[in-house]
Amino acid sequence: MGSSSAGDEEYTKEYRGKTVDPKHGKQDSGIRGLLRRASVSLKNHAQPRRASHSHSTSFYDTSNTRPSTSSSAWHKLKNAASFRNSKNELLSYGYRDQGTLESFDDIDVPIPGNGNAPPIIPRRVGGEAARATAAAQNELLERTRQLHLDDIYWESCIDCESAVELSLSHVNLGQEDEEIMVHHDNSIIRVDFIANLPTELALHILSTLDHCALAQASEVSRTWYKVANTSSIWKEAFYREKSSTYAMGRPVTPGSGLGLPPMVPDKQWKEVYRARQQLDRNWTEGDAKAIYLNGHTDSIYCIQFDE
Amino acid sequence: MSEFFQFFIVANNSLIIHRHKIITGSRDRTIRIWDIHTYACLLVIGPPHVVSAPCLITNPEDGSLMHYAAISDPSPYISAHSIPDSISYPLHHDASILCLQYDAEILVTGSSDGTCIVYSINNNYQPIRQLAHHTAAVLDLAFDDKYIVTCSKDCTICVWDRATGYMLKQLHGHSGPVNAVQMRGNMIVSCSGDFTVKLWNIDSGKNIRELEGHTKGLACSQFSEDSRYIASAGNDRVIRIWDANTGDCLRTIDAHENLVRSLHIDSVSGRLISGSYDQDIKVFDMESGSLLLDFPKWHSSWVLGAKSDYRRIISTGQDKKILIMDFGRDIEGVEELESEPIEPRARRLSRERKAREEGLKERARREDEERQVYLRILEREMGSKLAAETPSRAA
Repeated sequence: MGSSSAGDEEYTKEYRGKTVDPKHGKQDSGIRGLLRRASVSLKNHAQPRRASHSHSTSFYDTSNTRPSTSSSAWHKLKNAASFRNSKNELLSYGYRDQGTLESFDDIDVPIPGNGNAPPIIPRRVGGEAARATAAAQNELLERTRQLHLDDIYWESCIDCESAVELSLSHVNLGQEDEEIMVHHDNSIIRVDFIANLPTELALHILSTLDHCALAQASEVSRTWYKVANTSSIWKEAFYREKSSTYAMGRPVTPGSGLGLPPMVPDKQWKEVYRARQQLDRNWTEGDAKAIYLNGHTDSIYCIQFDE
Repeated sequence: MSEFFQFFIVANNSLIIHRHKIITGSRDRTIRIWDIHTYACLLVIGPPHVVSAPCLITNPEDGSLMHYAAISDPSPYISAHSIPDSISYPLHHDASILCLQYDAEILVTGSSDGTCIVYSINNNYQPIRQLAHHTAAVLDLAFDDKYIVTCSKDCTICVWDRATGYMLKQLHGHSGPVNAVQMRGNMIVSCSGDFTVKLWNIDSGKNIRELEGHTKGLACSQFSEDSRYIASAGNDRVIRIWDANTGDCLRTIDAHENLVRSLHIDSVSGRLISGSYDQDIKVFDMESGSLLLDFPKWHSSWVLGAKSDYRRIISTGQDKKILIMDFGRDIEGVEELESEPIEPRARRLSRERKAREEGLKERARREDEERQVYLRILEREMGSKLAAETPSRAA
C-alpha cells in the first residue's frame, strides 16, 4: 500500500510543478499576456473551466527550457508518423519571419538555409525538396491563420473567463525568445494528435499514462474517450503500475497467484484495473469481511493457503 | 492396506487435486483442506480413530454438521455446510500438528511426536516418508527445491534432503527450544526461546550471524522474499525488523499487549501481519513501521497463525476457528484478479443466497421441532399438574 500511495503523491507533485509569483502574472499585458494566455496546457485544455492553480508539465514538455522545435514531442511524432519526408528542419525560428517563400528560377541546385535565411530551392527541381517546401509553406500559413483565430478567441474570452485567466497567469516567462517558443508550441499543441495519428500510435501514446491521466484524457473528446478506453491501454497501465513489489527482488509474475492475472487479450482490462484499485482502497481502509470456518475440534496451530 | 482405505471416500475414485485451498493443522491431530472460495471443508487427514469417529461429520448433540462457515455479511448467517471426505494412512501423526508447508508437489507436516511426514499432494496426500531424528516436538519447518529444514524443542535444527529424506546436518547452537525457522537461498533464519535470532549458512552448517536485542523468548521470525529483511517477535511484545546483510536492527515496533505468536511478511505489498496472544491481528507497514490496520478481538482467544496475500488475511486461533478476512468480497469482478478462472461473483452470490435461505429454512424447521417437543413436555406437565390438582378440587 505504502508504495502505491507514494506513487500517487509523486503524481500530484508533477502536476504542481510550477507555482509562480502571482504579482508577476498581473503585470502581463499586450502581446506577452496574450501569449501567456494562449499557452494552454493540455490539462487546462481538458478541463478549461476549472480554476486550476497547477500547470501541467508531465504530459508534453511545454517547459521554457526547450532547446528547439525539432526536439519537441510533436516533431518526433510527425517524423514517426512520416507525414512529410524528413525536411521538417526547415521550420526553424527565423524562417517564420521571412513571409512567403520565394523560389528561384535561375539556380539549379537548392541552397540550404543559413541562420535566419530560408533555403533557396530551385523551381525546376521536382520531388522531395519541392514537396517539403510546399508543405512547409502550407504549414506556416496554417499556423498563422490558427494563431490569428486564437487571438480573436482569447480576446473575446478575456473578460468573461476569469478562471482561465487566473490559471494562465502562473506561467512564468522571462525572455522574448521563450515567448516565441510558447507561441510556437501553442499552435502545435492545438493539433488533436490522438484523432489525427494512426490508431496504433495514438494507443501507444496513451498507454504510457497512468489511470488518473487516462481518466482525464477520456474527458477531452469523444475520440479521446474512445481511444483512452481501449482495453489494451488499461492492460498496459495495470501491469506497469501493479507489478511493483516491496521486497520480492523482482516484479510480480502475471499468473502466479499474486493478484496479477495472466496476460490474456480478451479481458475487460479497465474493469480488472478498477477491481484492483478498489481492493487496494479496501486494504487502506481496513474494509474486510469476516468469514469463520468451523470444523476443527481443537487449537489450530498452522495454516497455509493459495488463491 | 484395507484398513486405511476404508475411510477413503472419493467420488468416481478419481484423483483429487485441490486448487484455491487452505490447509490447516490442529491439536485435534488432523490436517484439513478447505476451499478458499466455497468455504467448504474438502478433506480431513488424520489417525484412523479420529477420522472414523462419527462426530467428525456431525455434532452428536444435535445432529448438525460440524463443518460450516459463519459469515457476517451484513447480518450474521451460516452457510456452506459441508461433509468433507476423510482419509487415514498407516503413516500419520497421532499427536498435535504444529507446523506445515506445501508447494505444488509435496506437503510436509511437523508434529509434537517429534517427526515430520512428507506427503505427495497430487496423489491423494499419500505419505511418501517420515523424517525422524528430533528428540522432541518439531515446532516449525521450511523447505525449498533442495532442502527441508526443521527446528525442534530439542534446541536443534535439522537439514534434510528433499528428494531422498536423508538428514544432512544437525545445527547446534541455540540454548532454548527453536520456535521458528525459515530459509532463503543458502541462508536459514531461526529464533529461539534463548532470546536470539540466528542466521546459518546451509552449506557450511555454520552460524554466521546472531541478532541480539530481544529481551524475552522469541516465537516467530520471517525472511522477506528477497532475503533482505528479517522480522522477529516474541514474548517481549516487540517486533524487530533487521537488515539480514548487516545484522542491524532497522526498526523496533511496540506491537502488542501479549506474546506475538506469528508474523508474516507480504513481500509484494510491504505489509507485515502479526498475530498475538492478546487476540489482535495487526498490519504494519514494513517501510515505516507504522500501524496500518488493527483487528482487535476478531478471534475470541489466542491467535496462533496469520498469513496474507494480495486479497486476504487468513488466521487461525486457539478458538478452533479459521478466520478469513476478505478485502475483496464485495468487489464486482475481483475474481478477474485470480490467476486461474473461477466462479464469477454473481453466480457465487446466488449460490450463497440459496444456501443461506436453506440454512434459514433448516433453522426454522428445527425451531419448529423444538417448539413441538417443548409443547409436548408442557402438555405432559400440565396434564400431571391438572391430575394432581383435580383430586384436591374434588375434595
